[in-house]
Amino acid sequence: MKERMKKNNKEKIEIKKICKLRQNMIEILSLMTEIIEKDKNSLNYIKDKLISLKEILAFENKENFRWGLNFIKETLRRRIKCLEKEENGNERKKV
Amino acid sequence: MKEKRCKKCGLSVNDVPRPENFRLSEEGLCNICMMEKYQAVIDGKDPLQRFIDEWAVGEPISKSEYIKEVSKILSILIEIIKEKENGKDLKEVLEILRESFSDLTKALSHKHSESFKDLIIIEEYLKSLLNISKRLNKK
Repeated sequence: MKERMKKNNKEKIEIKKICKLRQNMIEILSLMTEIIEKDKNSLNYIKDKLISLKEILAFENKENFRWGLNFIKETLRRRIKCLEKEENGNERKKV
Repeated sequence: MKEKRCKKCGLSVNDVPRPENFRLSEEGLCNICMMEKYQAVIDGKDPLQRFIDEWAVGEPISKSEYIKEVSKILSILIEIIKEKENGKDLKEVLEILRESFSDLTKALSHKHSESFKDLIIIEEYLKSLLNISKRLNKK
């Protein structure tokens, strides 16, 4: 009985982990798509970020893994903010 | 002894094929209802049909399998960029990336097993795209 409960709990945690991973990946991919749409010269940037993401996915340490995913999300968000600022600046210049 | 049923959909271990894959959590929810709780997937399917589609086909997929598959796809995308970045049409590469990200996002939003199957399809598609790019570069 105890063993079955342990197994159930393990599976429950595994499902949670997979859902979290999928959520993170969706967020990262959406941010990357936004960057591509905002910046037509973002190929090298995206390539670097894909390489970093692949390295992060290979982390075996849970803390590093979580930190890496959050770091990459934060970096992508900052990039989007910079691109938006640039865009606003260019529009003002035109006016 | 009273038969334990899922508090949400009412299924019990005796109602399903592959009963070894049927689990009730401590809060009394079955696998499918647990997935719904964390993913907010509502498809209107009959609970038994959902169990058959999700859990009666093979073993549940683990996080490491997921990571492995996503990493494979990322590697292929990186290779495609490397193959194409020396070409003139960088817009085309960005378009491929944008479409691939969109497909991946859709695949990751699907239900458990379907999501994994879709990732494998995307991997195969990108592999063929990479092969075409390599052949074109050789010419």
